[in-house]
Amino acid sequence: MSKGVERSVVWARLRWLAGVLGVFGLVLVAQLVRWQLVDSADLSEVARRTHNRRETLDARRGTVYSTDGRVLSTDVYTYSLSASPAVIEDAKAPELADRLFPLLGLSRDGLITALSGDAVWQPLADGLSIDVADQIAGWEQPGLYLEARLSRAYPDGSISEPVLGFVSQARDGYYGVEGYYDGVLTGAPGAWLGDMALSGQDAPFGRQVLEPPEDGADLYLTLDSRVQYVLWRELSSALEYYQAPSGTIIAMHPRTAAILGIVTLPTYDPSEYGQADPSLYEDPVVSHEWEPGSVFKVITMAAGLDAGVVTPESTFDDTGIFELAGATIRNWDREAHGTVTMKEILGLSLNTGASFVSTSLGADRFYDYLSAFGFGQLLGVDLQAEARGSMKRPGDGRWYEADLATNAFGQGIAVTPLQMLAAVCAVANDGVLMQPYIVEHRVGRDGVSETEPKAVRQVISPETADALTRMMVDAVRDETEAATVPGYDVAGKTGTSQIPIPGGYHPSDIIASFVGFFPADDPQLCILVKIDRPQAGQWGSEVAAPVFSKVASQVAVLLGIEPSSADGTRVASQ
Amino acid sequence: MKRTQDKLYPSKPDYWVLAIVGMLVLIGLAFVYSASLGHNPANPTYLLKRQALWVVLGTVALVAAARFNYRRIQLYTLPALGFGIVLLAVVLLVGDRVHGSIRWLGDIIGQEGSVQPSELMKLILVSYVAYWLSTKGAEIRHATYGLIPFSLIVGLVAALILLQPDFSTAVIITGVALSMFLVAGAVVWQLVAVGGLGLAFAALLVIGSDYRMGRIGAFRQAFIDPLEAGYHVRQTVLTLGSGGLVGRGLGNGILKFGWLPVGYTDSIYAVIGEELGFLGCVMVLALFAALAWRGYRIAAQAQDSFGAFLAAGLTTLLVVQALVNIGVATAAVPFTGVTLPFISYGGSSMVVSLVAVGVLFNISGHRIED
Repeated sequence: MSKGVERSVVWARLRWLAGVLGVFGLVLVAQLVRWQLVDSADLSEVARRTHNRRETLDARRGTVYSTDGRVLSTDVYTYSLSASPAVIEDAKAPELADRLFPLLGLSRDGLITALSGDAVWQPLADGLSIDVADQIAGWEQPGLYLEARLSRAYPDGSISEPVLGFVSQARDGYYGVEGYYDGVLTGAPGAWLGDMALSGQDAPFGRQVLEPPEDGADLYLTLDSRVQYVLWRELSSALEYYQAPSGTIIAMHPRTAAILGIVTLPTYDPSEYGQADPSLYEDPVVSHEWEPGSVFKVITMAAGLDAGVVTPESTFDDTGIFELAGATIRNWDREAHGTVTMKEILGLSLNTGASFVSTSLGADRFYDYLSAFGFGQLLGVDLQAEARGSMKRPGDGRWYEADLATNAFGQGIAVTPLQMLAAVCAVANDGVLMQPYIVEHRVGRDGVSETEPKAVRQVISPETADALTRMMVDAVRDETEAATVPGYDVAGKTGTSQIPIPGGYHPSDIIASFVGFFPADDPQLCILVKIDRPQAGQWGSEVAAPVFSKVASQVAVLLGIEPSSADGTRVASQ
Repeated sequence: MKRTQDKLYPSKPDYWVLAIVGMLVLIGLAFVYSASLGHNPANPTYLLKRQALWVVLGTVALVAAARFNYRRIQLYTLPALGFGIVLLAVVLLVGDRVHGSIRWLGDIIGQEGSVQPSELMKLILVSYVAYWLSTKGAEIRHATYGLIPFSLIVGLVAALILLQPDFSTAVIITGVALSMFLVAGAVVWQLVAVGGLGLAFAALLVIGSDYRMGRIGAFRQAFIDPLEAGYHVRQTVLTLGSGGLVGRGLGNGILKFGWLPVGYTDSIYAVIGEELGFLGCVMVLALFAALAWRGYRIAAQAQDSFGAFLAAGLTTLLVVQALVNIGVATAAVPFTGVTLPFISYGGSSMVVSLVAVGVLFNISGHRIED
């Protein structure tokens, strides 16, 4: 070294320097370990949340079809229109408003105001059809924005409400089929995930993942839209003719308990459910209870016959009054009919006779039969908001001995219309109670799944069912001519129920009903007609029976049910 | 041919230095391209092409420096220092204001935002200090001949750079000069005293400046929990952390698209961390460690004191800048704008760094064989 610095000193000092820098380097490695190995998962997650874009892709809700292939409710795209007045020149606003107002159904002046000014965003209209949206999109007008969203459409309007239910703005199904099958109809939303630059655009070479939405399953109902229409038309005219505020008709296949039609009036428009009276959302067929009155005598008689307490020909001495535990039972006509057979009790609809049967059975056996028929329990039908009905039993603290007498003719017991119909269908079905259902099959991602008709239990013997059917045929033929259907033997029973009010029963209003099935020797159709508070007409036989006849004769043709001859034998098919 | 080679490099020059730097430059080009993809979407290779041009210019300068006998540099160190001081003064008067600092001489030199006189000043000062120390010999142990004039020269240059204000460059230049002083055989207690004074002064400057205090606070916070620290530090650590062990793969980074500020310049190490992961980061650190090793080896084997001090100073300059840059990226050092030599986008840094490598190479060609 030229100027006397020792090489060894330089060496030593360089090592010192290298050592210091080396230690610093190790600190950096430690920090790298900390961020990239120890904390990496957390940091990546925070970073990912920052730079990940997630757009939800809506799944289509399944379509609901009638058994005859008609669309009852489905998802359609509707469009909302918004504007950015800041982008639209004020001078152009009137001309644009001229083109828009007929399409949107809004006032021209209001549109001019909305389109002028410097606002960045201004919603204009909602729920536009694809035709209108197409037309507006065709203008390619800067500052106008269309956004598509799925919404529910109901092509038949209110006819199938409330059994169909509705879908809310938030895309949740409520009531009826839409409510009960909400989970099945609702698909799984998809997503569009992607790495995003700060600008909001896709990051080049970033990960872009499309998770396609999974559409909901389609439902094919047992409901027949043609039957629905017949029920709707006949119920509408009946309510008008008899000046009744409300009513229900249900048609069911007695062998399977498949629901062919349910019409309830008044009803609501599901696409305008927000404007409807919320009390109309619930389907009275499954959710509301009524004291069924004389139609219930069918059940009482079934129990009596099956238990062997009475036979169709066994007699009862009707004095016009039946007394039990201080209660006095009278007939509808306040008359004494003398010695009558069981068949006549059903045909003449004698309360005293029905009370005789139930008291002959005794409370235990009587209520066991009622339970077996499904009363006081959920049927398990695939419709939302099903009610149990209200059946008192000895020992439950609400039951009095007199109830045994009144329950026999359908007073002091409340049932849902569907329970009543299902129980009568059991009589039509050789005594086997079937579980009512409305979805025939569903078609989803996992394929097709068919609903198998489900037998709940054998309630009465086939022989009892057969004997009772013949009694009901005679009752209709002899006493309720209005319910007959030309070409078919109809088994049925009328009902005229009093309406319970606090402290007793309504002095004048009644509920008229008729339940029946046909052809009697091989039942294909079971129908319940219930007309509430008719002002023009006082009896089930007068109000409900003719409606049954009209509905039944039309539906029989629609469904191709083969007629039987007057003597009860089937006309040979070709 | 053999004669020429012998004349140019009496001993076998250190080709390892060129290999190491070559790798760093290639990594740099790859990451300038990757990190600047979102800079100008219409022309994604814009910054890559400019950087490539600077690499070409820098390589020409490296070759020239490598063929220029380093001992002749001693003739130019004093005039160069004078020129450098004038240049810094000119920048203070007419330079472009960028981010509140005046560091660029765009209007005068031409390529806006790419030529920084302080970068050049690093080379000039290291050369001058090497020359000055080599003329003192053992005298530098006397404060009157060594410490005091040394402090005045270095202090003047540091003060001019501080006035820009460019705190970090001033600190790095001072640190490098002190390290050369150490290597030259300075009395350690004198060095400690000067270093202490310098630190105290730096501390005063930090305390007197809100933004520097803010960065210190952010640094402390970043060390505890980087997610609660300032945006820049937070994004840097998030970018590094997103890489994990092996990274997303070259070119697959995401945070460089706007989330990470200045990804292609000062924060480029974080982009390397995101795309190549811990392994890539350690690889870059290892390359700088190898550079330090070769550089100090050249210094130790240099023919004369000037060569030894110059090689030590240039090596320290490159390595310390790298360590500070990586220290910022890993939140081990308070946030400051220092480029990563050979890798960050930037013209003057690239050319100056490559010239330094050329000089190192030349010194290695004149070493004493063991």
